Amino acid sequence: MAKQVKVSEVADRISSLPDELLSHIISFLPLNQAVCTSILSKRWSKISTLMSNLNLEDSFTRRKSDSHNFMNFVDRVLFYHIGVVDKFRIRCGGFVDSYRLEGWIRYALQNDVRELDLSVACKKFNMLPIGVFTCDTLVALRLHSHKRCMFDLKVPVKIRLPSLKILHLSGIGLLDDDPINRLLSSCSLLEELVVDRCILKTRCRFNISIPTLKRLTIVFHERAYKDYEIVIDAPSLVYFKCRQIPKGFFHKNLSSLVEADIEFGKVLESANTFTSYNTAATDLFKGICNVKSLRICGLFGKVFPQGKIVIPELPKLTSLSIDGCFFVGWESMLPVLLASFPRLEALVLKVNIEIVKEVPSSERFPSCLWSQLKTLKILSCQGRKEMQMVGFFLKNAEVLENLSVEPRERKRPKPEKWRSKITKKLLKLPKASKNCKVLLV
Amino acid sequence: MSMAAVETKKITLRTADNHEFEVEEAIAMEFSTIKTFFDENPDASEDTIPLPNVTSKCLSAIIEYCKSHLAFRARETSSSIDEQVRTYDEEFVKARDNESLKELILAANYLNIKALLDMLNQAVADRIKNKSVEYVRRFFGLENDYTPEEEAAIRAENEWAFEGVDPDDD
Repeated sequence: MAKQVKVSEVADRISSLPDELLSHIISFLPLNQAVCTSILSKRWSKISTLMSNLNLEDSFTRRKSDSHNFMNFVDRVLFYHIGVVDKFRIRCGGFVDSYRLEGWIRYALQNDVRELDLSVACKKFNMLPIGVFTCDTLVALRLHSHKRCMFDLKVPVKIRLPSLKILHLSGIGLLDDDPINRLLSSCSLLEELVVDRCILKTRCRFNISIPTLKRLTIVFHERAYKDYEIVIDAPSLVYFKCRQIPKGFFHKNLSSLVEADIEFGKVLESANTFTSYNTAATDLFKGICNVKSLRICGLFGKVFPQGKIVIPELPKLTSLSIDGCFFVGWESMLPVLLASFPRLEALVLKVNIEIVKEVPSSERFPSCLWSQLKTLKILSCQGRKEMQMVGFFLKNAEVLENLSVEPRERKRPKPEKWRSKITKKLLKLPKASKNCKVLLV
Repeated sequence: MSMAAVETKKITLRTADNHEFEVEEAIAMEFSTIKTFFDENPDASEDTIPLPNVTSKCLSAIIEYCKSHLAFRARETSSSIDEQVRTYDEEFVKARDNESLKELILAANYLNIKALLDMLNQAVADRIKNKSVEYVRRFFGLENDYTPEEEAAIRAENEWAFEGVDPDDD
């Protein structure tokens, strides 16, 4: 006997949802809206105090009085709060008082916080409560510096983070004695490490020997770059990204690596800067030789790969993304680059290219390319300049299934007209693979 | 040339409206309520499990969700898979009206499927975000049991929070 569930019955049953579940729903709202739910009904005045996810954001207010109200509000929320704090996220500006801020973080630590996410622009705040570094329950720690105010992190001597799986440090000053390696040696379960545009000492060495590490990202800002080295033994590592290649790269075990993202950075811009990185770059590519998916970004053709390091053959690579600039024409650069990837099936190009005088013959390119390439994506396309290269690929790629072209974001006087013009041109190009789908995104 | 069919264990579930669903064991184990039941009663796997709090419409949507997510997890992790998962989740939620979202939450809560529940809770939060108090009351089917003085007191206490929330736009 079928039973129709009526709307009013659903409404009744919604109120039969336990308070914890309702508080979980509202914890996805901005904190001020979540607290406003206390006005919905008498039962709801309790629900907002049970939220286990606290998201404190003052929208970086510029007025001191607004900041005052924000601080009083947070004090009140934490005062009435009951239960554990699962996720604690703070985004606040320069007017927030650092003692109050420290108190809020301590509250989270005392209530079994699992995820701590701090982005603080407060100038006087440069020491996290020591309790952060000895928190048994912490699973994820994310620290971001705000651009107006760099956060100089002092990492204490005693560190014990037995549950930490995720560590993100972004824009942080780490000028202590070997802070990163001290942190890493106390996190035996770490799975994800991101060190993004942090200020480190010159020739800083990352000693990464973590059996559980799955994802590693080390990014330096072009202008604030200092040499660094990586010594790595990470048998579970699946993803590796670096921006600015290291000056030394020593690997012991990277057998699980599947995806890599290498931005060469400044070192490719002149022969002088490059020679000292030659060995490290070669070692780096040896280390990632088993990847299936790779992105390389830089200035190609000035120093690399002509005459200097050449990327070794990556036998398992099926998906490649090339991002950057070609110093020489695509007709001479691409065959050199693609020679290292005998199993290539998917290619993404986001490169500034020019029209070349003479379209190359297909034989200049590795022959396996034409019988294997299934997907080609052209990003940041300007229109006319890329047509020649697109036409060349379409004419020669025998099993191509998908060609998509994504135009560069630009103000055009008549965008629809431009789009239909380019689409017409694309569809007119002769195709070696009859069933290939050609698309202007 | 014939290939022997791989025997996958199936579990039978019966919904509130008396429909029976046969699901692969791997999918049924995504429902923590059911997993716990089997952990405690290992020889009950042949029986039909009654789910008096779940309608057939909800259960079939939930089975689809779990099947898709199991398939995503079986593939290698990569940033493109993550994007596909995000797109799938967005599509799953987009077409559903508020009523079916609420029903799905009740079902996912009863069956104890954490990932689905988190995703649905976020979706509901997105729908009530920036909405008026009256809208949210209607959404949850609530009666205002405050006196005007009590309501005014709450607004005064949380003045900072109530600033910037539009009073009555729908």
